[in-house]
Amino acid sequence: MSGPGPSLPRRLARYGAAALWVATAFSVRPAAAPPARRTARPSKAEIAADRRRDLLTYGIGYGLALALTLLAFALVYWRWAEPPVALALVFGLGLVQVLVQFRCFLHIDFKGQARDDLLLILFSTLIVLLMVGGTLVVLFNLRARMM
Amino acid sequence: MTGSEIWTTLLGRFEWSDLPFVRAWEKGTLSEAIGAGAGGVVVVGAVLLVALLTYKRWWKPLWSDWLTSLDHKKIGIMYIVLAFVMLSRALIEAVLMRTQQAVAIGAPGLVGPNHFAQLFSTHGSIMVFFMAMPFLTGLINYVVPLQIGARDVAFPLLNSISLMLTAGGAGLMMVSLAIGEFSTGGWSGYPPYTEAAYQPGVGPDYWIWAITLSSIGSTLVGMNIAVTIFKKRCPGLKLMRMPLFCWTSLCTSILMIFAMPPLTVATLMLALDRYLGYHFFTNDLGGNMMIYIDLFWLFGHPEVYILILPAFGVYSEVISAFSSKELYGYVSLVIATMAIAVLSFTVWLHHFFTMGQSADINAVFGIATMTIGIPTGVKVYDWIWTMFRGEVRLTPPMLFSLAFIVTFVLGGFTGILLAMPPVDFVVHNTVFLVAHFHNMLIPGLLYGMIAGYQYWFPKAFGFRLNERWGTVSFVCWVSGFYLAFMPLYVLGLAGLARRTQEILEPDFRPWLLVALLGAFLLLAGLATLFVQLYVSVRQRDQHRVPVGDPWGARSLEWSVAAPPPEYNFATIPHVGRRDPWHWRKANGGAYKPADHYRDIAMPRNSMVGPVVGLSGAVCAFGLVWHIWWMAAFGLAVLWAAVIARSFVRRTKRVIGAREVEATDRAWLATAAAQQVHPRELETTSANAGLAELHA
Amino acid sequence: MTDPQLRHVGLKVGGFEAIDVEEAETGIFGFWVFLMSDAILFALLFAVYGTQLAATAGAPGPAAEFKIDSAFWETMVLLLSSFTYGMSSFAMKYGGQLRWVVGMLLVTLVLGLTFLGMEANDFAVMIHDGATPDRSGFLSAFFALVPTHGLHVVAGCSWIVVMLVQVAAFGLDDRVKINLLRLGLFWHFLDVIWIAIFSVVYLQGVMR
Ligand code: HEM
Ligand SMILES: [Cu+2]
Repeated sequence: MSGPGPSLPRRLARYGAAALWVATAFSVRPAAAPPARRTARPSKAEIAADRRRDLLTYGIGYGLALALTLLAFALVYWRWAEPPVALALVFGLGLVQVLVQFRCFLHIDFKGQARDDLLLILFSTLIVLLMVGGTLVVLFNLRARMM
Repeated sequence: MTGSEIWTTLLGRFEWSDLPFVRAWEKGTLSEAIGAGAGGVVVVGAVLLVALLTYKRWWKPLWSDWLTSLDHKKIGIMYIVLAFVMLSRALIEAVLMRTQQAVAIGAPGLVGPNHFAQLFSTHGSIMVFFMAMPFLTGLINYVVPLQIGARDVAFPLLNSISLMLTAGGAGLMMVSLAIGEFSTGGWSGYPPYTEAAYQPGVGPDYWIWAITLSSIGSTLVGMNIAVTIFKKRCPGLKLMRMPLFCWTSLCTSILMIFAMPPLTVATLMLALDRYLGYHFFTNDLGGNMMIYIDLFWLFGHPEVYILILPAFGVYSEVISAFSSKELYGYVSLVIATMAIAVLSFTVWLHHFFTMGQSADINAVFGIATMTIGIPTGVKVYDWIWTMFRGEVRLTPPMLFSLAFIVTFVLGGFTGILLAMPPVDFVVHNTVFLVAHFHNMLIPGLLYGMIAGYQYWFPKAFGFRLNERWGTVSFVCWVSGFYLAFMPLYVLGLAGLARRTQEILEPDFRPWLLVALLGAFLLLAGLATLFVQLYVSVRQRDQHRVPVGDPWGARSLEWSVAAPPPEYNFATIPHVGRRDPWHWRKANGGAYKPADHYRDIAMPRNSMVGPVVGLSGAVCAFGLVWHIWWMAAFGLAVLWAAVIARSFVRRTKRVIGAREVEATDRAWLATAAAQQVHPRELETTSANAGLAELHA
Repeated sequence: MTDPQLRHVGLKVGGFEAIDVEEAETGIFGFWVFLMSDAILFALLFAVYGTQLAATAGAPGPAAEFKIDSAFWETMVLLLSSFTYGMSSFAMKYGGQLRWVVGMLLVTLVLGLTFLGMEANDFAVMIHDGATPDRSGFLSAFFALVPTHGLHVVAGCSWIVVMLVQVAAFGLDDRVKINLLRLGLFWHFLDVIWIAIFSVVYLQGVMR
């Protein structure tokens, strides 16, 4: 186990996050994406462009998810960081991967119907935070006071 | 296989002594006799029902007009029927409990401790899950699509499935009277007491599966209503133009979507503990009952807002209609509703202030709790201002609304008291708490449901309910409430613990007698509601309101015939402002034929709902009694039905434009032939549903 | 069609029995709502798991029982299945090449079953080691959280089978397409939940 010092994972994470944002930004459809309601059938060229972009979205999604997963497992497998740091990194990488999958596989963005979905997801996130956060605070407090 | 093995395979852990009749015969105590009587009522009632349906040849209409119908209006009505049936049972149980406490002062009384514990457990569980939830779901189901100008809910089949799952759970509650026994763990089912170590019998299992069925049904219905409101509003009906009842329904359904899962998780974990020896909430091997308490109230507190918000919506509609004024402070009411919905996720800990967390945490949750009083206060002012200088008519729905305002504020004050942890330490687990939550739920839920039932009844059935009996019933409900529950505040402060079967303090007697009297009045309140229904049906020809707008109200449901056609609207309305129906009446746009009519596609009936509900209940019954083949069979049928349904392609039926037009024109002709009735004659046979317009 | 998700399958509109865009949108949004409710359920299972981490009560704990390599391969399989499902939707959207749609669905199904097999094997090993849910609060929490995800995968696999039969029966009609779209959301959602499981359960577990 010739793992480099604990600063590497941090650096890696930082580069990873930066790369990720760039990549995600690229995979976002251009603002002038398809007009609201097509009157004529889309041209062949348009379809081909759509097709390429969609394929790219899936491809980038898979690639990023794979990379993030590998990074998380490698971090733990080769013990690149102390447990508390490693744990935080693993959770961080997991969170980023969730975002990637939502964007690339579940097609959530800021337009049209997906916007409603996004608001729904954000509200759900709020509730999850309240419930999970509250539960953890209350139960750890109880545990601390009773044990 | 030996005989006993065959018995266990076929019948699980059932034994003859599980039948209350056998128990009563063997033991011969009064308590057992009462239990057997209740079981007998269920059995005889079921037999009589079957006989009646057969004799009147009602099976077919029951099946094809009601049970398999996907019409949101019929589903709503069935929900409300279910609610009334269960209300009757739970109210009788409440009277029995009050009687017990009034007579068991230094004496054993009527029912033994175990039986008493079953009574408060079934009463609480039924009132919350099988009376309140179906009632409000029924009202929402009936009214919301009409108010938003839609022809149905977003997912009609899912609607039927939700109803039938809830009904299946209710059926399980009824069966528990006749076979076996119920949990003694209260409506909240706290472990470790409900664990197998302390209650190895079927009681808690009945509770778990009945609640699970109902909570799944409620989650599904919440999704359905929320999506309906988001996606099925008619053109122009922006969110901020919706009637307030739609807003409260929306918030309630959002709460259902997010607050039912904690309950499902908690009950299923309890089931894992009981069935597979898990250690979530046990006393040993790392189990922690506080996890259950936490999960349960993550559900439990939002639940009380699930219960109360629809009633708030009803009051908003009723007060505005019977004051002939637009709702005062619409925007503030909407914001207050949303604030309550979100805040309700931040206060659950006030249900267990005394269970060991640090004082700081208690303080945070205490303060959060008190803040909920603010939006609620805003609402009360809005309702009062709506009445101010309005043309107020004291019809029964309005009377219930007024009683609500006064009584609910009182209950709110005691809630603020309880939100202070030091006070809560003193009175928690006493009947002070019982008084408090009945003081919230009876005005804040039950009165609202009754008001809504009386308000929309003419819309649903085409004739008004008799107002005189309505008023009698109102008097009983309100006086009964005060007599039954005010003494409990006193007794609670004096230290009477809740869930007490025998009372050792003779000084409590006068208060308990008053409370008993109140309970009887409440029972009379329910009885007079049934009398009212009977009388009104008999006199229906004098009370018809075919034109459909008996109260001169303002929202879209009053713009169609009473009862409305299956498809609700001959043409989908377009809305330009709040209170669109009022605006149309005022601007000569009401009662006009459409430019042209189109074909309308409505969902065909489906038997999937009843099959899913029944097989769910059968599965649950098998689980309760450890009859594994039955559980597996029920589950298999359930999924088979759902999968088979996904292969059905002809799910819609077309109603031709001609027919739509004919129906619409016939209704318009009726409207043209009727006299406009002035407000004063609203409660007389002059009211044909064509109301006089006031500014 | 305004909706990017609907564009992802390219629904046609028309005919009376057919589904219009609005109805399709409603169906998809409804399914999202369901997923969010389901997400709450998982979130609570995670919260319980978190509070019960220390409640091992002398029974085998995380470090002893969790194998990083098997968790890794399970992750790979599930992630790949998410991608293959995406490819199936992709094929459906562009031209609806039945061969590709069905082929990718079959690959997804095989991967899903592989995942289930590996997971079942994990559980069998744990049970063999005596790490059963009736031993401790911790194991109870584990055997609630992870098998719940597993059951969802079972449901997803059954759903794939049902959809394959429907494709055989009806071809890619509108309703089949909508259901494939919903199934896709479900399948991707399960992979998202799995991210949380491998991070919170397995990686955290072997770290200690
Ligand atoms: C209508 C007249 C009602 C009467 C006379 C009544 C009476 C009672 C009584 C006597 C108890 C037992 C108190 C004790 O523990 O000492 C009780 C408990 C309870 N009631 Fe009611 N009640 C009524 C309506 C309702 C309504 C409308 C609801 C809810 C929607 C409700 C929900 C409950 C609950 C949750 C409990 C607690 C059960 C437990 O201890 O687990 N009740 N009620
Ligand atoms: Cu509360």
